[in-house]
Amino acid sequence: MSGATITGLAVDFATKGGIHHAVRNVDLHAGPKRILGLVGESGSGKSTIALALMGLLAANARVTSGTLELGADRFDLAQPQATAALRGRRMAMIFQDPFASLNPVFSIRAHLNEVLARRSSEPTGEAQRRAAIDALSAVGIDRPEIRLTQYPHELSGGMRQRVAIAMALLARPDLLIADEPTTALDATVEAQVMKEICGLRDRIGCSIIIITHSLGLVAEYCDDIAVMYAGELVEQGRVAAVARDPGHPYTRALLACEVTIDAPRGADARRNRFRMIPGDLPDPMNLPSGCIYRTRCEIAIADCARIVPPPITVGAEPDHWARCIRVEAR
Amino acid sequence: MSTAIAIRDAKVRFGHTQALDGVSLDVAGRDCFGLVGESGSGKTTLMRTILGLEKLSSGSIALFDTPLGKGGIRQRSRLVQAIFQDPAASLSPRRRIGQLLDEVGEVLGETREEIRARQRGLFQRLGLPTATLDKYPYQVSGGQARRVAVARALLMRPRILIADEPTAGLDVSVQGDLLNLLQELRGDNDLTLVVVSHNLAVVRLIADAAAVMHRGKIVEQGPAAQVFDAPAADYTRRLLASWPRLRAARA
Repeated sequence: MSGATITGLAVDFATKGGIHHAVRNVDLHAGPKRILGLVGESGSGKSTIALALMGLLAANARVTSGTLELGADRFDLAQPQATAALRGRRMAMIFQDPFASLNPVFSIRAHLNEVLARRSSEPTGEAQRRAAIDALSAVGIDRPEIRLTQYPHELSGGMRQRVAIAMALLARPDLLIADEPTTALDATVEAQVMKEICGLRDRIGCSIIIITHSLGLVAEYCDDIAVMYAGELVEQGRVAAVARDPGHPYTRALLACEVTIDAPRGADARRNRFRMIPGDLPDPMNLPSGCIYRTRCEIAIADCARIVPPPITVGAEPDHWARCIRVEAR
Repeated sequence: MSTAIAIRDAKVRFGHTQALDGVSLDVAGRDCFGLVGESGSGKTTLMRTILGLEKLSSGSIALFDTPLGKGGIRQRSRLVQAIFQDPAASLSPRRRIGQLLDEVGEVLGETREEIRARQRGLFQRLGLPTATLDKYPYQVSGGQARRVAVARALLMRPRILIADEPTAGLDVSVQGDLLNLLQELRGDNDLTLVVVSHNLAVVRLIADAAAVMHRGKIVEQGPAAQVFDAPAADYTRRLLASWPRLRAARA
């Protein structure tokens, strides 16, 4: 199986109150030439997964176990600097705030050249300029010759995010991670940027993981979806399969909360009500036994407190599973 | 029903930027009015102008037939209150939440006992534990901070409440809670609500009437059902088309 496969990932944070097991036992597969949407609410651990893969975790965090298989290679993520040599080469990342990932004192050309310099056969002179211009036009930036000489502050937010995508394009990674790449952007710009990310997938055939809290975005642009809750992965599958037949009660609740543009609308706006998930996230220092979601679950039974649910196949679609022993009760 | 907000040909200019370029609209009393548009469209400027935080270069704004500028900020603050996008930034980090709310009593000339009694009543109404009063803003969750901001605004007993991006930064599982709260407040307070948001899907459900802003102008306004489900302006159609859909994946 090629693409990127993460097995048994666990991340701990040392805090004043003790050890916080922020990510526990996560298995994740991002197929080649596919976009995986990793969804979950604040604090569910989705960004921690990205930073653990990239080796960019904060000093008080530690990967206690986990491996990454990238193509034919295998990396032990618990080893310090396990993936350091891959960054900007076989792995690349796009952040939520493109302003923070671009250096304000370097021109756009300098940013692109830095990525090109990491290639084994670094292009020089006109070939280098050509490669940079091609990358910018490939992500829909007009007048790329002029943009090369500009600095990040001279570009709009959408344009800056496109530069970050162009850098990823030049790095030709096997795995690209985009953490909330469009959260800071308007809807029309989001659509354009997502189109460029899809183009990147088709052009270089890499595996892409998009971290987002927007199920709409996942439904519209991703091939696969993985749902995080309180540090655990509770469901994974193809987007169409999960959207049509969600196996985990948390996934169902999230889908019900999403306000869609085509939701049924009552004639009297005053009477429209919105869905939410009652209850709170579990205390990270005092996690419940058994299933992580059972304290908020509407269909939990006594066994849910005893059994840590294994991945259970949902429906007939391939590779669709949920960690819920009540999957048949859906 | 009276007109809560009447705006006529409002213009606001920042240097070379025409932030508001001839905006006219009416918000009916007790309605929820949705103001949508992308960043830089002028919706926040329009909101700040209604609050008297930006100066009109020409045109007029009247709140319940009182022209803006008459009566000064004290009187206006009893007519219109706002909750801002970032509740953490609008609550002083150095003071306990109770202290922040006591201030409202000073503005209104109420005694400590009066304002405290109303605080407790409102907290109960908004589902905030009274222990929150002893906390600092950073000690409460994003959803609770948003509720505290709502409580502070309502303590002024305004007739108009403006909510700027009320769901920004909130998880989908808790945003419904706040939106339902706004819906309920409309019912029991004789309150006119203005929701400023880029979230078209939310505004479509909560607003009676809506306006779409683009480059300082209103490109379309009317009943929400019409604006969102049968838009007339090209720009509104483009905006709606770029909104991601869940159904597509389910079909």
